[in-house]
Amino acid sequence: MDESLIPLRFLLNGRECNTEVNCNELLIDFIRNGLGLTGTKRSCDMEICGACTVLLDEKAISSCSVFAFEVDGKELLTIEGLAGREGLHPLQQAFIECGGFQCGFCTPGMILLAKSLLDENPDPSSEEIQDYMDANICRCTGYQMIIESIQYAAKLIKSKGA
Amino acid sequence: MIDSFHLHQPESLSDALTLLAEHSQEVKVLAGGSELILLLKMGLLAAKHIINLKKIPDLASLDYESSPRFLHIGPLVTHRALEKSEILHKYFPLLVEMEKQLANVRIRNVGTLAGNLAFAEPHADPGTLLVAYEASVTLTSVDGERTLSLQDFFIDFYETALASNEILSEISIPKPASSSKGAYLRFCPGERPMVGVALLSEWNEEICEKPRLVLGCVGPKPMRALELEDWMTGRSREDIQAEADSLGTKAALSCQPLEDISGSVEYKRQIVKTLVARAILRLTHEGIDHG
Repeated sequence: MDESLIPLRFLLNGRECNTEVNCNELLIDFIRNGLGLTGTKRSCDMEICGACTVLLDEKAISSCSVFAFEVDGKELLTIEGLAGREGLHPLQQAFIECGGFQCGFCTPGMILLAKSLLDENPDPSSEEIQDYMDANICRCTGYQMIIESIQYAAKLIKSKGA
Repeated sequence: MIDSFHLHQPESLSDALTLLAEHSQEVKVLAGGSELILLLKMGLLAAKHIINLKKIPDLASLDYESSPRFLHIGPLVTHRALEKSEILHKYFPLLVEMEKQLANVRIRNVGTLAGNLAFAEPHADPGTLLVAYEASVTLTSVDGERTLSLQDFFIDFYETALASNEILSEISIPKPASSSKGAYLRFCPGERPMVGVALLSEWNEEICEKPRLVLGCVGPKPMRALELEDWMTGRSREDIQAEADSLGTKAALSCQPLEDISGSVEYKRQIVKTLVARAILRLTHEGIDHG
């Protein structure tokens, strides 16, 4: 057995996953090539743009700059795992209704980052949204609609919970 | 693509130190990884062995309570953990304010304060503020440990006193006096700050005591403006406030910024001048903020 192969046991989008990975493999390559989940995008490749954002134990991280072996024992959420049986997640619905994307390349990262924001702060002000979402870049510069989408999603989530 | 390496995941600091001593020439230590992995990807660093510290939970300790004099921060404590710590909100508001501005939330979720210091990138926020706090770092190896002031830990661009068999095992920050006030200001048009200025002092009634003014990103490491500190020591709030602009100018002339993609030498000096003057105005404002 190749000693550089690391066994992994983790939750992938809510389902248990047992596999192994080369220790030098980056999380983004493991997600896209190993797991075949191509919603996670590579762009700047240096932790700046946020296109590769995924949630690891509910925290937003750049999958381009984390080793894949670090998911062992943790919960990984990619954009493919966000919609439930009952349909789209309120953030996805809100991005559609408010026109929160243009070319769509940054959207998976934007939506996952927004999810981590709303998990922490269910009712953020416009300023708090701007401050937090400052982490991710939309090169179509559709920021205003992204902010509106997140505000609308917060309302959707609240009305669902009520 | 990062070249393959042997991964070690020790479960105690002593095991990690033994591994480090065994492989000290070809080994890198992984804490958060937000700096290390970038450099490995760019081929600027190579490692045949990587020691992952994340299986050593003791190293994630953030301890305000045990010591009356110091806040102790373990090497796995992330920027985000500092930003979200309730006790730091109360007793180290300036540290929290600095952490909140650092890079972006994805990096703060992963990156550690210790990793940031050990990387010694001069365009960084924490070193500047922590030198003003007179923080120290503990470096541990199989042979024992030593403690250095952060000021002496930083040596040059990307260079520190950390030996190849040592791990930065703790950061200690003196708890500010109750009369302490301070400011950390930065100019950051991109991802990393172009200039950072930290100013802390204590106040005896209206008299300034123990001022520490640190200019960051404008030299190989954060630099204390000792002449200006001497001038401020023992002066009144009013006197210092009246000289904010001229102190800013002196600070600007005292540093040696490099011309780079973020600006010319003159431009950076202008920013230093403005930030120092603003930091002085903030420091000399009425009211107490416990630095």
